[in-house]
Amino acid sequence: MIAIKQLTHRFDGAENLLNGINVTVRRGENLVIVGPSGQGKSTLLKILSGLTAPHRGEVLINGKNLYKVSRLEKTELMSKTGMLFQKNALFDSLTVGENLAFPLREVAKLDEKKIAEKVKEYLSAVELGPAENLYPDEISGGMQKRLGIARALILDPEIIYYDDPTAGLDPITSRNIVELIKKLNKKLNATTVTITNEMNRAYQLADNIGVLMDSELVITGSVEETKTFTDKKIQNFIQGIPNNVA
Amino acid sequence: MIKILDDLGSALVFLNDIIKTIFKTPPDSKSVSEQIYNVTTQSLTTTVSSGFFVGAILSVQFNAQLKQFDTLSVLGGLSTSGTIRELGPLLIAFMLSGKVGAYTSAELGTMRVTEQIDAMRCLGTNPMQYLIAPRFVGIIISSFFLLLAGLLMSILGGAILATVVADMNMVEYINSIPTYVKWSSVYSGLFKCFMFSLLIATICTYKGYATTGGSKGVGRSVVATALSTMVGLTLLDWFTSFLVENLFKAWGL
Repeated sequence: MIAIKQLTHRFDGAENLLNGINVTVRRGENLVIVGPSGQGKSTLLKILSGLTAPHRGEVLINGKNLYKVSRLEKTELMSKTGMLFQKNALFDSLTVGENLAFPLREVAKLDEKKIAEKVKEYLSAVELGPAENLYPDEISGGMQKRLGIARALILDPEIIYYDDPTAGLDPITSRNIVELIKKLNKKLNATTVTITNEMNRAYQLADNIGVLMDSELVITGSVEETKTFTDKKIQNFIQGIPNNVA
Repeated sequence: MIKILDDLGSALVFLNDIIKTIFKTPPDSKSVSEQIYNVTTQSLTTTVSSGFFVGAILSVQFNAQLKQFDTLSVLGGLSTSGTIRELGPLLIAFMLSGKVGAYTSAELGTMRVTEQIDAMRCLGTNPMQYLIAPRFVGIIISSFFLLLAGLLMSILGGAILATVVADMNMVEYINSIPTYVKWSSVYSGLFKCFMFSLLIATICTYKGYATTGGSKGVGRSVVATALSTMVGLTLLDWFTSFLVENLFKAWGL
């Protein structure tokens, strides 16, 4: 379970980017956060994943404050989470297969036979078997995204963060990626937080939707509840209507 | 000024973190060997050739001066002493820092701005242990031996140029070396080589690891690494010379 309490964050010398955010994501729930660009969605995800300490507030993962525990405990908590970065953040000096083997070797400390088996399993799940010996810059954007997903999930994390998983992909690849994410989430029964700008993808993935706007996160509820949410500004964003249009 | 002090403080905290990480969980020998191999193969030609010419230049310069006083017999000693104690380690370290420093800070900086370091942390790996410690140890070991190789080549360069320019007998040149090059000069050279290696390793890993701001940021880090290393090496050269002189005096060497 993830709980965020009174989270406030700003960059040096700027106004609050995130202001007093409170949200709870139950175990197995899929929360999708949408919102206009530049409102701090990716920053929020970085705070949740332990990469950026917030100015104020708490991030509780299974009841433990991510920024108050010891370094060792934090590393342990972080190893229970997986993250797909917006630009994938693949290790460019390692092959596709080695990108997947890296966490199994360095974190899970599996033996080489088990590593090979698990790499094969995940490559096949994301349909990248034939690309095992290629480098990330030798495969397409969609394949890189699938590799990023496989790497985020290979340690069987309890919690998964997806930072704009369909950014820059064509509609068909984008749909396939969302289907893949749904399939793998279901298999792992993971708690997920996804960030996207595309409402259709949000509706496909979400149990619950939150809109991050004007430094605040408003939980609009399920897909149906979101579609009928009464706040005009939020409705305008959902329907893609600029706020200055009457 | 405040920015420089802030940067210096952060670099020292970073160095402290690396040392703690190395003592807590020593980097595996395979990663360190890989780094030693990479750094050595990249920089061996540069350091030995620059070493050769540092010795050669000093030999030519001293030759011109000594000829006036008809004291060419001390050319080997003076030239080698100057090379080992002062100019050799400094100039060769400049060349080395240009190559190793720029390469390492660009490599780490790119990993930082493409979020590969963040990805490592998210996977539960400590980048200090996995990325920085092996590079740090590898750069220190290989830089130290590269500097030594450069120094040996500088002696050879001085000797060869002395035979060509000053028509000096190679044996005569070498025989004059022990007159001016005491063990204290050798220790001083070795100490400088170690300190310079430590400085190069610290600055390039720190600047690379602390990179921000996309591809421009990587460029800035590489420039900052080159600049900081050059200034740092010059200051450290002065400091180690001062320290070594006083220590050796105190120890009667």
